[in-house]
Amino acid sequence: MEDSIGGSSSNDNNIIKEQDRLLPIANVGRLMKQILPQNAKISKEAKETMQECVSEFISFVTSEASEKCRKERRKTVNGDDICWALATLGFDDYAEPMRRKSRTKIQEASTNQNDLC
Amino acid sequence: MDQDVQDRALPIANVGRIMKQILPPSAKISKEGKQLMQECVTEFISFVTGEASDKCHKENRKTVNGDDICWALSSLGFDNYAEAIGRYLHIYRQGEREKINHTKKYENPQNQTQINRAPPPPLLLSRVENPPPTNQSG
Repeated sequence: MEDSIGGSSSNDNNIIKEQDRLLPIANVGRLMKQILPQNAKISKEAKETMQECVSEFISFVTSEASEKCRKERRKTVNGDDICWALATLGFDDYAEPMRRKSRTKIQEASTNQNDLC
Repeated sequence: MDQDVQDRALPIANVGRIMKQILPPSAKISKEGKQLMQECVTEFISFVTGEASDKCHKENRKTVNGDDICWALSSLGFDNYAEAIGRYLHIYRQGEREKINHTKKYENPQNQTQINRAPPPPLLLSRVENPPPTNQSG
């Protein structure tokens, strides 16, 4: 009896909770709303569809970046890995602006660091 | 963080959590990696929604639905996504239909009919069936 209880709890741990698998629908909806004209509406179905898309997108890109890190025997996925993954997966339009943004942020951070010193 | 930036951003903790599920347990993600993904996702949502919005505008529709998102993905070259999301939509709609049917089924239709079509009280029936004799004199 105890075994079966233990078994069921371990199964529960394997099931990914909805809130861990998806981004909050309110945030997704808010972003979508900003793109639409003011009088436009978004159905619940559309928001939930976008939620799924976004999770799939994150998983897709992260998986590619992770594979690169594994091959290079590195434990930490960084911004360059994400940019590389985007380019590899055909999101070239994303990769370059993101790389520029990443560099700018690093420069800003180092400038702030120097100011503190 | 001001309101505009807050509206533009998706929660970085959630983004990191989804990323972590893909990585091996020993792997880590830098803060910069999470931030970059956060920006990518924001851009992705804007990109797809913009395309879906244009379609609705051209078709004089006010509400963006799941099919519009699906069409936008396909139109923007995310064909694999569009296919998968099409399947998701089909399952989603089946689920919604079942939910509606389930609600209807368990609303207790017997009680419903009693409330809507309650028979008139016996007194009223007897009055209708056996009307009192009218007073002829007068």
